[in-house]
Amino acid sequence: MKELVEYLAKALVNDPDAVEVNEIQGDSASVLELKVAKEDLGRVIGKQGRTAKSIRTIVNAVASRADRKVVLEILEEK
Amino acid sequence: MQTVEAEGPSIDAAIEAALAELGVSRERVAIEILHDAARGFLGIGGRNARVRATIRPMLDTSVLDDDEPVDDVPPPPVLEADDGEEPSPPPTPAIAEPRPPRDATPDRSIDAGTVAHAREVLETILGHIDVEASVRAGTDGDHVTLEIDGDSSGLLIGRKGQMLDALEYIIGRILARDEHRTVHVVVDSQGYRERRQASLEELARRMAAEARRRRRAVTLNPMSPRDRRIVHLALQDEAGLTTRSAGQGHYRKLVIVPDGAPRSSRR
Repeated sequence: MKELVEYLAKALVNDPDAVEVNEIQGDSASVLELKVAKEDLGRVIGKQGRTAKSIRTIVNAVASRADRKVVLEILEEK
Repeated sequence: MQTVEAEGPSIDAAIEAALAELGVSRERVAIEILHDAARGFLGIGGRNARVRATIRPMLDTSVLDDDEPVDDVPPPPVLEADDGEEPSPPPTPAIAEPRPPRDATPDRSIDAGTVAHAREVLETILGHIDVEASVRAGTDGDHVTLEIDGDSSGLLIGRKGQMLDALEYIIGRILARDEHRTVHVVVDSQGYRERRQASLEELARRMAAEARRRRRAVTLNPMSPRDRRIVHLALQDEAGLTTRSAGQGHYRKLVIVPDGAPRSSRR
């Protein structure tokens, strides 16, 4: 899951080296923290959040197969 | 332009049959689905799926580059005409050459590189998701078409096709970054888009009949632009009614207005 988000983020941004994903596992849910360069925030969020929403849709579909929930947090790198 | 129609127990089978008849690969043809296979009721009334396949002449220069295996069928006549206009590049191109057709509309045209790239992105995503599925990639002139074969769980379609929508949006954004232009992508799996279109057309006809019967405007639930377009098109030739959209963004709804509806319900 982490690798998937990392791949998508790196393919979307202008500064792939700044992309960082941390996965915090819980019992039935996990949090994915996606960090990107400040200039790239718009690229992973998108117009009216459409890109972020699409990433969440994909991530949640995959997670639901394992009966898990995943929360995707998008953070600004430093 | 070469066109054949073919049948089969499923849409995929019908497409295969059409390709076999034309002797070309999937990327070379535009497929129009005439109707899906129906199982019928109690074994009665079932029918085969039927498709119409048309070889796309413009693809020969713009999509099939050297790295793409070209089928050993004679190229359509259109291509030969193009070849006549295009002189082989001289070692030192001093004079401006006539540009190939695809440069006339640089923003929209899809070349083999773009198709291959789109396919690679989708395959990478599928690899991460860990589903057993293969991708058929092609183009319909101004957008890339990606069809996912083999996922029978419906995971890749999602509720109301939202997974397909998410995939095509993301892939479009990724291509946009890499190519610095807008690339339209359509992702489909198991004929979902066609089934959706058929059910929307059915809904459109039902609601149109309802609007006529009640002589009042009928408002449909909010729908995506793509879905509204299908309904608008389904009803555009219907006499005695008009369709329009009202509302903003996600709440935009399609309204079917029969002629002679009360003014208050028309606005």
